Amino acid sequence: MKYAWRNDAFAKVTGRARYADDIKMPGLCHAVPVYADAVHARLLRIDPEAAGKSPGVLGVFTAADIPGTVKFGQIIRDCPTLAGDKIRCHGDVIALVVAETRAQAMVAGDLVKCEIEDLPALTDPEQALAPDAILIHAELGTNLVNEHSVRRGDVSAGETASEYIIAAEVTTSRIEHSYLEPEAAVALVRPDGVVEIHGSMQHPFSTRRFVASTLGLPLAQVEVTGTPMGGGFGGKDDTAALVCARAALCAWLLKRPVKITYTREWSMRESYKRHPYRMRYRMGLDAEGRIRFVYVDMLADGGAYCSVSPWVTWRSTVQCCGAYEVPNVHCDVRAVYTNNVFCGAMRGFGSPQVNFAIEQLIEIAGQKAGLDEITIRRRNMLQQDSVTVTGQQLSGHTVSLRQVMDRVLAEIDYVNKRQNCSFGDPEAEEWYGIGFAISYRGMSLGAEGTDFNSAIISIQPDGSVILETGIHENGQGSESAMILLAAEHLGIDKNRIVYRRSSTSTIPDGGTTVASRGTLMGGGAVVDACHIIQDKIGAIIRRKLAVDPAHLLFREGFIYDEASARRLCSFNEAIGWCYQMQEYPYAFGVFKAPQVSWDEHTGQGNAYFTWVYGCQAVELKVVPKTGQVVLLNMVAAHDIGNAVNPAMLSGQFYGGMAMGTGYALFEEFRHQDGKGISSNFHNYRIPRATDLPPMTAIIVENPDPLSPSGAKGIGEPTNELMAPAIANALYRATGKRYLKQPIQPDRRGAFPQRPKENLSTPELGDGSLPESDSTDRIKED
Amino acid sequence: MSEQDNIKPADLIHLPEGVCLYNRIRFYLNGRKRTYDIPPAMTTLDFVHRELGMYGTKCSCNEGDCGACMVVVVLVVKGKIRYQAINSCIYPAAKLHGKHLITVEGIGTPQNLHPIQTALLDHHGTQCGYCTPGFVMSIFAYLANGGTRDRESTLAALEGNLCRCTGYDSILRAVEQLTRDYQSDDIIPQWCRELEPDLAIFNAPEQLILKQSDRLHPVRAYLVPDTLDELFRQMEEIENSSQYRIICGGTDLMVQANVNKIYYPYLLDISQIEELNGISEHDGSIEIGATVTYNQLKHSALIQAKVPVLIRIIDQIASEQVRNSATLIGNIGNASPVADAATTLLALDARLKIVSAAQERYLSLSAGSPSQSDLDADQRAVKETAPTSYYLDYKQTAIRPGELIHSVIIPEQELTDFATIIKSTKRKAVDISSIVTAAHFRVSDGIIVNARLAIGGADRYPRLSAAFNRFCQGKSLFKGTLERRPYDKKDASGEHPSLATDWFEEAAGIAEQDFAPISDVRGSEGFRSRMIYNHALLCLQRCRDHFSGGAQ
Repeated sequence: MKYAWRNDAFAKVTGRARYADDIKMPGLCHAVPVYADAVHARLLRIDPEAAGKSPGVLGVFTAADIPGTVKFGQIIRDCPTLAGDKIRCHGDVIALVVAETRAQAMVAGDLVKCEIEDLPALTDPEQALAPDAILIHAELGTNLVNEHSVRRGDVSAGETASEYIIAAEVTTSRIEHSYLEPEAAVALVRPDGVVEIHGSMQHPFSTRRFVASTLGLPLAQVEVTGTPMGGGFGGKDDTAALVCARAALCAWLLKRPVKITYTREWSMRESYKRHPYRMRYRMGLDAEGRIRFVYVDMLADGGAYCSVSPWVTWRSTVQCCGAYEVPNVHCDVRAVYTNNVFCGAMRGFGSPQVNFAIEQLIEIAGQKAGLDEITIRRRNMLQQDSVTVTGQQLSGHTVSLRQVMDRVLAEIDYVNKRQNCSFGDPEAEEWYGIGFAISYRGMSLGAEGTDFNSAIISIQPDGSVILETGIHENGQGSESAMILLAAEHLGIDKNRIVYRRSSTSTIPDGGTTVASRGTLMGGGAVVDACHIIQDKIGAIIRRKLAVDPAHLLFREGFIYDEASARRLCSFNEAIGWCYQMQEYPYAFGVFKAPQVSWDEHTGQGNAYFTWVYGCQAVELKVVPKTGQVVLLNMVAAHDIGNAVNPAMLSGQFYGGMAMGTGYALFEEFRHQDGKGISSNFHNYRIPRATDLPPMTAIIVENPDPLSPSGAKGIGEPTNELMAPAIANALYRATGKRYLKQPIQPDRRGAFPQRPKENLSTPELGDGSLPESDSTDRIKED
Repeated sequence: MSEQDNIKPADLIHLPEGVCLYNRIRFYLNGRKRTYDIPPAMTTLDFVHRELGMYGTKCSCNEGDCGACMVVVVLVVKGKIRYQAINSCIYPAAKLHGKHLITVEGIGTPQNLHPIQTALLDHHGTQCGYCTPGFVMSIFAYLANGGTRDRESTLAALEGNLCRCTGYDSILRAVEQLTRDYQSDDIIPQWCRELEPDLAIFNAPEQLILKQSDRLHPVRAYLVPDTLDELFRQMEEIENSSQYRIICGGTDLMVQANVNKIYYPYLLDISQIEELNGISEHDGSIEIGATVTYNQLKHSALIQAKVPVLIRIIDQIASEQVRNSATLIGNIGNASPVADAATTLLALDARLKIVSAAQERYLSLSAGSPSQSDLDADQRAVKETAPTSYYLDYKQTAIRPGELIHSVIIPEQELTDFATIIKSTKRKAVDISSIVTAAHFRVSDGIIVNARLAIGGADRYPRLSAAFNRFCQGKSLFKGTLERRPYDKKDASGEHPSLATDWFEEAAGIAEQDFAPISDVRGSEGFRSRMIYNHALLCLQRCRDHFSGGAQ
């Protein structure tokens, strides 16, 4: 089953796919958001009069018009659909203007005036934690969003056992998802009183909760249907849901269908970002280069609202030591409210930050111990039955870290090419570097939340199949993967299966399509539904043909007795018999994630039921005089369990590597005093084709016994490694470590050349222990 | 709605309150002849997506950066048919008059895919699909114009399209296969070919239609004069020069309108004034007209032969798609301090020919510093003595009401001249410079006679370093050159690494000292200063390598 196919590709390459902004209907009117030019302020008065008189305007709505609850949130209900008495960040929407046309609404939007009283703006998370800091959410009594910790072993004992200790502070920046399609939604109130939403969103169920809360309606009275989505990357949850809730509010108040389509500027101003982290690490190695302890303190700037900060930062704690065995760990992470744009889920979800740190620190520590970057990793990496920093034993699936790393190093010819690295050679006009990084990643939600999903298979009398799942198509090709799984298990042609884009009213809430859980969780449910169908068909065949095969085989449109390989009937015949004999060939399949456990106090437990392993490597050159970095080649290997749709899977690899490149080198959502400077793609730079080198994707398959389809996830693993790989390659090009993301030329000079006498790097070893040479072992902190 | 057909140009200007002029355009849309009335300055994207409901052309950035709105415009340039990929979000729809607009809907249908669409399917070049139609159109233009398999050319053709899902790899693989399997003749459908003769003889005049304004759009008329006389008459009638702006490619003005909501009541589109579209040579100097686009220059044999440095900077300006519309003079006209082309022209000592109804005059791009054309004034039949400076202050120029930049004149390049440019950006393509440096050296027997080092991005406008020139004049490029070291190897480009000349670093330091750049998004003050130093040094090294190469 190795197809290269997707069900929505014809519509997409011909421009026929209908995204939310492309929906038209009679009576449709248009709403736009209104912002106040404030970062932290009391909102004293909104004057809608001038806007209300503008041509075509149907209404100007504020928080006072919200019939339900003003504030909502996935974890803490702190985020207002429209700001009421207070503005907490520059992206807060204070009013909505609705008009007959979008142009009219835009003009009127500029006419809404407000009176504000500025408050001190907290834009630095450290400052927000100061005891006398003003509270951003007074009702919460603190600016601390959450804290998590991991305590394992005895860090001071680990320190005593260490021969080499390194300490470093690593920082990362705020990242914009940069989905090409800005947020858009259409809402209408149906004659039956149900509020219907069509929008660009990652999670219809989360949107439904936002909408129902805003309008004060029961969940059943809101029906949310996703449209084809022009990219999400974790970014079309809260903000997309807020846009839907605002469209719903306008539609509810006006009793007319309302569309809101965001401009890029609004989207960048308001939408949540990936958290910037400040990480302080200390790490100790023993004489043989084994990690004895890691001490880490992380501070995440959560911005004005909680969103999913507690979950993002939780993953950071679980993966705080990267893919290594560490017996003694002390990890604290805090997320903090500030008056910056809020932060939430983004592809990687707390791992890109820690990987950027740990995958450099392991090399720095290794170097101190005289170990090259391959040896230090091999000596410390997680293996089969290793115990993670949260005390989870990695068993029940193949721990393939060594395998993926070796595949990548061989493919890129690492050991040979490494000899060409420049290390900032002052004689050279161009510097060459090669680097890599490895990771392990917990799959799906883990102990973050309840994790289950469902699928519905309904086979029609002619043998065609309608399939739907609780997983949402984000552009990644999940619908195609689901179809392929069903086609395989039912033994029928994929073209006989039509994927029904489900609405919140047709299938139960299956959790959000995040955490690289689509194929794993949705696919598990599809496989379960297929098993139910097989059992139903089996029972019918036994009755109809009066045979009793032990096992049936569904293949190529026919059903066989597995033992005798005798063809019993065609799939269509069997379906016909089902309908004749009053048995619906219909199934509701469920996959419940295996149990995980977590002790919030100690930060110990079986965090995730399975893990994926990956390695990415890069070659690059640097032109020191101009600061130019030219990427030459990239290779990635990930253990995906079972590749359902290999071509599409490779597409996830390339896309993840590209996004990781942007993270490493250009991307940073810039702001000044809480006001965004980055506003569009000319001042928030994502990689172009010209920035990227040829890429190679290596798919490693060790089917996962805990996943019904054998498949694991891939969306995020591909996006958490390229930044540290590039940082490591840049080190071997320039001789300098870059612990601040994005990696940019220094204040003075591009990549400053360093004096030749400092040029000393460890030779590449063979993985064996170093010769005893204690004279240069100096303890330092 | 009151409507009045075919307004005479003379009636246009003093429009009564509440009315505006629509452009009645006749053009071809995906092979079919069409007539539409376009509200003043409506973009092609808004026209296609919002008015016609052809949703394949998509809005993502609305500033010409992302390519989701890419369309192909077939037009006649100097008697030749051209297929150009255009960012429809910054392309006024009024410009479509007499052209053939091809959108993704026209290229192929799900039942009858175009080979480009099949290749994207086969290689999984689509994920979320939002950027896909734009890629289809850029690839179409690339292959229609004979695009090759060469990776660098392919990348250049796609540099105006952003994709966040695919990492571009699968799209590039699709293009590679297409270049293997198809010739440009197979790429351009028959129905496109059939219209080409009609485009070549198209001569229906554009009409202006008086209509009630929706009172929302601040632009009241988008005028497209055919001659300079007509343009001057319009300018005169509008009287107040703050009421109008000259527009040609629109790649700057339309972004200002879309994003910053900066509008002018009248836009005067000069793109149809034939005499402004010349690239010519007189007595060795090159004159480039106001409407000449970057891509026209790039494909001009004259420019390639005589001013190759201009080709090199053009390759680094914006994207292929923007360069189809954007003009060289527009880069001067907007007076941006980081204008790449203007900085290059400054180093080349170019002059601007300024025309108005009454007179013509010349302005120098150099501010204050004596220009080489002054020195050579007696040899050149320059009418006025010392041309005054074009730049006055940040985004302020010496252009007076009623005037137009007619052309730019680049003085003759001699064999003893060497010109080079360096642009520092964060990203490889489609990025605004942190610092752009252009240098022009006149060298005699290894001695620098004149050194024009122009820096963009370090002052209120692109500026020369007079101190650098003073210091370099009379110095030998080779004096103080160190012996070639035995371990100097050829680098990847096949060049020897530069040797050091002992005074170069001092010269670079003088250039750095001559500027006091500011810090902003594109670079800190310190970074910019360091870039000026590095650039100046590199320019000197390149100059020395150029002349030492010639000597060997």
